[in-house]
Amino acid sequence: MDNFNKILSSKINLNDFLDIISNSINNNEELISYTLQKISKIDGHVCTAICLLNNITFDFDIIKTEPQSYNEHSQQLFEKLISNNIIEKVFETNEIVEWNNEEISNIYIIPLQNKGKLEGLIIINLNNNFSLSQKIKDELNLLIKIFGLIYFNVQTQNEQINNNSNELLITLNETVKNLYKIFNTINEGIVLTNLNNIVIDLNNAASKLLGIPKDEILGKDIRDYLLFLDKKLFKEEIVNNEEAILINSEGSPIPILFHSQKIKVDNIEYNEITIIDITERKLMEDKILEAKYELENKVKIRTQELYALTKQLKDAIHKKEEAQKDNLKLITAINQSNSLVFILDTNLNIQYVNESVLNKTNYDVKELIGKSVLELNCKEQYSENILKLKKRIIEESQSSSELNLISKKGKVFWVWASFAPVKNSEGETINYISIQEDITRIKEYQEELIKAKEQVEKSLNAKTILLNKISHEFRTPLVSILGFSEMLEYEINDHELIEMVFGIKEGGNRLLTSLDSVLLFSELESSTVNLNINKFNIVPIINKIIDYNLQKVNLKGIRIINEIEDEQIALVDKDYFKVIIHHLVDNAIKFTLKGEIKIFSNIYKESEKSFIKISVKDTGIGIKEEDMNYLFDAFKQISEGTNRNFDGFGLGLSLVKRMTEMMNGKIEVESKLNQGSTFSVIFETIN
Amino acid sequence: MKINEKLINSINKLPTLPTIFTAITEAIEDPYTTNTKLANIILTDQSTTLKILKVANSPLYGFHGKIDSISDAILYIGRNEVKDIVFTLSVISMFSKEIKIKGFRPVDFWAHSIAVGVISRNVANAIGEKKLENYFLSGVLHDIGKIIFLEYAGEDYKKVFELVKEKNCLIKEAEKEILGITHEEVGKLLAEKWRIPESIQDVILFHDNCVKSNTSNNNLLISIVHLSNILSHILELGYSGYDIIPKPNTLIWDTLKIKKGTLTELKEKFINDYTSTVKLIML
Repeated sequence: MDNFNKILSSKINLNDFLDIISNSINNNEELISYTLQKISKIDGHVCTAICLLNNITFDFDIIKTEPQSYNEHSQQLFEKLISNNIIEKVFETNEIVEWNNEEISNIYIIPLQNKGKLEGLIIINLNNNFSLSQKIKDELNLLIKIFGLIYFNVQTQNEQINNNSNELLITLNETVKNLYKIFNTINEGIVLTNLNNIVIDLNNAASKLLGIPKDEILGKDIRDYLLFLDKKLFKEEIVNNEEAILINSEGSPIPILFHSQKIKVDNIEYNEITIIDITERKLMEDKILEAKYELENKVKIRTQELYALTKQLKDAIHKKEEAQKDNLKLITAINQSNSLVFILDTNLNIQYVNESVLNKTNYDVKELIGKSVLELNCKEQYSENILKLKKRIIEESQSSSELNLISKKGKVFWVWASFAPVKNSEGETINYISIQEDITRIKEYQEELIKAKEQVEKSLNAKTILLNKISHEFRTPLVSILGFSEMLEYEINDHELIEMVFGIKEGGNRLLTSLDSVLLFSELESSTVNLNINKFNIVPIINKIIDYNLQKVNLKGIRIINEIEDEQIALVDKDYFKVIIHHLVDNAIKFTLKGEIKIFSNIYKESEKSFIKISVKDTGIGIKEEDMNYLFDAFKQISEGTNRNFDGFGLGLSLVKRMTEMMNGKIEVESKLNQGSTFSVIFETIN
Repeated sequence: MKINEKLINSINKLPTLPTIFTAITEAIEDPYTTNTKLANIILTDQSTTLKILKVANSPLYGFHGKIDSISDAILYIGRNEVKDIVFTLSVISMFSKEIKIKGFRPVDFWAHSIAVGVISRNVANAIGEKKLENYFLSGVLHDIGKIIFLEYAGEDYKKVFELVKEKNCLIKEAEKEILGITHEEVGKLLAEKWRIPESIQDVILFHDNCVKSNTSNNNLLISIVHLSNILSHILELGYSGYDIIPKPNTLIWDTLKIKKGTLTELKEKFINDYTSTVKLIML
């Protein structure tokens, strides 16, 4: 502070010093220049030199002179000072040393000390006519001291800085080395090229990727190792991770990520290129892509399958719906059917009944389910018939029966019940179905009919009895009429009278025949006939009948021919056979107005049995084809109506047919209108 | 002449195309083959399957990832195109990628071939050609002879390149002088052996000067490959072993009737399609 005050008070003005201090705090060169300039302002100044001790040679080196052109002059001056041992004097004092002789005069040497040690000299040379006043000397002394203080302080600082920076350099070196190591060990290839794409440096990874030693790559164009497709890669300032293709030493393409940017080192521009092998990544991508395609295909297939399934499902649902509709139809139909429908289990217990059942029986569904269907029968459940029916239902595939059911209210009604098993696909009976029709009405009608029939039968019987009685009552007087008229025939001779008697006899006979027929008919109707069928020669009977009718035939003017041989056996009832033939012959005579009647027989075999066929052929009026069906009806004459030309009740053929059939025979007719008819009866015979 | 014979011999010894390709070709030639059956044949080769799908979905065919099964690929891009893709893959995998001549890497050669294929297909499409099949394959195969030279006459082929540099002559002139046969002729021989369609054989033989062709249709194919070859040189897509950009035969402009500006418009598409297709096929 003291020194500083002195400076303030000195002639060397404040601003100058402040300049010195502010300008030279960190820069000794400037400090020296400034100091020398200040000194040069002293009146009569010729030159000044600053010498500093060289720590190595221990000589003083002239650092700077003012003016600079006096550098050589100063050197010579300094050597003279040394040779005259003047410098030594400076070592002995810390004051300004003055030196004057003939050769050299007006020399002032100011010692420059640092921490009491001489570190330098300031040598000032003035013109001969000038000298330094004590005051200026003091000021100079002070100035130099300040100079020294600042100078050596800065120097120390600089030295310290220098020391520090050395250490830094070492650390830096190591860091760089480490970085380089890292540079060489990382997996990413890094290539440094100049702006002409010539490779300047590359790391191990890059060389490995290329499969080429580093030395061989250095100095080559990086583009030689890339596929030309990547031309644009070298045109842009920054290429950010573009996919590119690297060609390795074997010429194989390798997929890479290419990253490039321009960097500046010591004002020189380079391309810094990063190469990353993405083979693995590509493979992964491929795998992912493959998986994706696979997945998509699977999805497609699944979708198709799903679609097919959906369609199937839809179809199935549709079918089911249709089936349900059908079922519904069926169920509705069954339910609303007028028939009684039961579905039964295998023990014939009710599982289902339709509405008709409920309506008819007045039971609730609950009351019926589980009950045996046969319980509804009004007769005792375990009656013999019901048990039989149950057995039949179970044993036979289908069975039906009339049942007499009774409702809850006690109303009895008849049903026609049919039972059928319901089988599953394996043929096992799983249910029975019973459909029962209410036949009460029919049953009632039936009963009415039976009653009516019985009544009719009764009245028929009465009629027969009546007829029997009547014919008996008729017969007795008739026989006497006939007897007496026959007697009378022989007693009288008057032709007219005989004629009359004949008429009585004829009428009587006809009445008798008719009566016989009626009696026979009623006998047959009452079915109380006892037949006596035996082997029997029929010829005598036929002959007798022909004989009996000869008179009648002759009267009519027709012929009757018997062609039957001597003996013919038939299995017949003698009496009935006689009636049959009689009727046939009588009929033939009755309906034949001219021509002939022929009776003949023939024998034939059929299925090891012998039969005899007896035919009566006439040339009478014949029968219309449409009338054939009525031929054998009782009381019906074909020629019925207003044109009734023929007598009789019309009982004849009906009786013949009945009697023939009663004797196991057959009757046949062949006839043509106006040409004649042939009636034949067939009976069994013996060979 | 000796080299000539050696080459022809080597062509005869050249392995037949991979079974997968033969199987596909046979299946396609059989008119009763269903698409499903064809797809099943392709599906037996997993890597081929994936590549077909990748190429089919690439910008070249323009389906942008919509094709996710081989049967779709057959349906959308067609049987022959699928076959062409398989063919391309097969041919490229048949030849070594070893660098035998400095400055002419097989990979660059294939990149060039693919570029010509891609551009050919694009040009054909641009001029309204409906039947686009074979364009890509024709481009890929147009210089097939050169790869045979590389593979079987490496040392002698080096001389060809030296001669080209020295005399500044056409590559086929040098080939004729040193090997006695041009790459076009060798390519044609190979194409015959492989039973490649005649139209493509013509491309191999005539694409360079674009003269002589039988049918007008064929003419179109040859002209387009001729032009595409030049375009790929101009755009520096791949490398054909030949630095000089040939001049197009002026006759092609009549054949192609290409509109002015079309090629400039397509330039970006050429490059993009090329880049994606090369990556798909070569990696």
